[in-house]
Amino acid sequence: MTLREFMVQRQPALCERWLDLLLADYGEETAANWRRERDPFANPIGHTFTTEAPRLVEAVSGDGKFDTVAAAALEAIIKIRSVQELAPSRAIAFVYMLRDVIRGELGTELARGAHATALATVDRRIERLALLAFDVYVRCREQVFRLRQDELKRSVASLLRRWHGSELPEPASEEVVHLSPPPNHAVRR
Amino acid sequence: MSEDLKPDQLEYYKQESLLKVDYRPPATDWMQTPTAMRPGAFIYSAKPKNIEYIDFPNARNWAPIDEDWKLPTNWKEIVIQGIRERLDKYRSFKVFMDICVRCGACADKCHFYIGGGDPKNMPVLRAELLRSIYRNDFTTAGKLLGRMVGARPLTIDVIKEWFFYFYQCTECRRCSVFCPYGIDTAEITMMARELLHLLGIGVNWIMEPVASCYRTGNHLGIQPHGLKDTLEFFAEDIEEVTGVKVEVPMNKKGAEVLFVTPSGDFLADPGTYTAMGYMALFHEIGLDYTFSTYASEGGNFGLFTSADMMKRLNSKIYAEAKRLGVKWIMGGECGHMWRVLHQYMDTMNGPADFLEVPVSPMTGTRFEHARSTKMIHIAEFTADLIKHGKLKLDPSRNDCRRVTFHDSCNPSRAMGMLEEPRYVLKNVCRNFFEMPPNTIREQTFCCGGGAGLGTDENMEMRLRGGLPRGNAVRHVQEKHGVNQLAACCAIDRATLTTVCDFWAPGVKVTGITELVANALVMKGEGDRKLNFRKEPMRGEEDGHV
Repeated sequence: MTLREFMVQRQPALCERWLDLLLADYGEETAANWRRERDPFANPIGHTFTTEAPRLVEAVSGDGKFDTVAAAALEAIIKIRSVQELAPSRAIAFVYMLRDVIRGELGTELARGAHATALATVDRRIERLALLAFDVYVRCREQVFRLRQDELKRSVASLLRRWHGSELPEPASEEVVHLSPPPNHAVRR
Repeated sequence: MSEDLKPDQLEYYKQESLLKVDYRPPATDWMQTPTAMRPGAFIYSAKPKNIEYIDFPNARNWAPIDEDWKLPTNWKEIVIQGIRERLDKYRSFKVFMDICVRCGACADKCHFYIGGGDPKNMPVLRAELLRSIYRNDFTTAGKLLGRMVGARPLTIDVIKEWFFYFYQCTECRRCSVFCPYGIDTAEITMMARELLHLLGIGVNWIMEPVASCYRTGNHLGIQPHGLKDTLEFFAEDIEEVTGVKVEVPMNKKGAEVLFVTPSGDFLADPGTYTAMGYMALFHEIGLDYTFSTYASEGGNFGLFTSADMMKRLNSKIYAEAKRLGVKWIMGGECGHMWRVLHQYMDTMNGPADFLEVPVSPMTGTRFEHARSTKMIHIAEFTADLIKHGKLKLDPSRNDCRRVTFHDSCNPSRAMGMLEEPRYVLKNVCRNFFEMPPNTIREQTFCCGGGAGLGTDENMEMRLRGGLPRGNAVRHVQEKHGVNQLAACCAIDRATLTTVCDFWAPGVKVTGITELVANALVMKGEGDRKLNFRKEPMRGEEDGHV
């Protein structure tokens, strides 16, 4: 079997391990809650993590197509973590942890340098994902600050309109509503 | 691991060693977990001038990140005495302190916990922050057995922890819906905030509006001439887009109805468009009403401060109704305002026996449920107008809007107003979609900015808290193409705009009456191409579908 086939076959186990690491940031009790509750509206974070993790595993084990699905999956997770009081490094560390997860889960299969070339490819994809994670994180944070400005402007909008007439500048977020980069802006190595 | 192996060599990684790494943070008991004041999660402290204006004690300059909060020397005595007084005064407080069995039913129901994961934002644990002090000083078991029974002594760190977490509660009462004993966590938060105020600890985003409201009649400090100017400006805008000139009745003695709405509607978008909607609607039906410059605030940030302050601010409404000689009072689209008006006003400042039970002059409907308070919500009034066919409506004007409805916490959970807004919305727009059942009606999720948390310095906290609501909005956006969120609360209109920009970009926020006014066919109106936002009414011109 190829490394890709192993990763596809063992994807649930890979995701479980990865989720353990990701949820560890939130303490034992919260991790248990977020794993237990299946309703996506009662538990949006647990649901997002469990839905998006397989998409990312698929992206790094896949045939090299690093598409918008991976970018959207990454964004869904990082957007949440960008407003959770985690240091930037910690907010995106879970991407790097995927390397340990793969080596931990597929230790036997990878023993004695087996699949070294394929593993190097997977590692490179994880690095690309990490770079993309950095972009997404910064965009989310920039949006938080922009939202603060927009809100301030809206809070005195009727005054501003009286001063400016119909020339009132629109809030910036009107223009910047989509965080996901278009595919041709994806990180290139 | 072999010394000569390097991390870029595969052999460097051994399955056994990888498996041994424990990424979990060290587990500490909650009492041992110190509170770190993190920017983005706390609100700036109240300025001394605002504390002094309302004669609250211990006004001083201090900041949450300071080591020394400059508490009065007898601070501990003040707090313990404060707890004692409140236990004597409020039976509910004593019951809520005693009765919790820590079953955990509320634990995962708080939007701040769901979006952030901090265990101290589980309602049960947040209440425990105060309950542990109660046990220590007011129960025999706590005095004898201390930590064994969940008691701990009062320290300055406890005060800081209270400030941090009781200002991460929006008093939305979603957790109370799930509590088998009916413990009202909002009341626990209220008590904790009252105790903090005894030490001069409050947040400026609440205390400045409180002081402004006490001084000028509204939270934003808009003075009488400013309010008149603002409303006249709205009237000009209404005339520009509809061709109909509406009146601006101010302090009109002998008017039938006094209309009171949150001042946020006068200044902040998109509430301003809802305010224009009120004016257009009242003009169209020929309601004899008046705004007041004295009672120019429907909201009541006293609710987030103390029971006494709430009473002081609320008293203006009845006083002004009496002075103007109106028959009854109507309230605009606000959230927490309705907890005050519906549940507290009558006992605080009533009975309003100088007023009459509200009767709609257009339909003759007598609003019996407001027999005591003499005040009704505009959604009830409008729903009644529609039910009796008193409004000429063209809902197709809202066809470019695919609308969902956010139940604001207080009108839904404190007032039980669930159907009226929906009835109105379904009559003024043809594309209405509900969010999932466990996110609406009694189970609605807070916007994350209620109870005085809607400022900008705590934006991260608000976005975490807004995640459950934003997630449900995103769902109907993806499933039904929803592009408009209607809400009957001024704080919602301000904060959900931000929540949607972040979690469900593309969804705009509106008040109910704004949509009513869009659909309202007014006598003598011109060709209505624009809505109050001066956007194409039907959306065709900008390709909006």
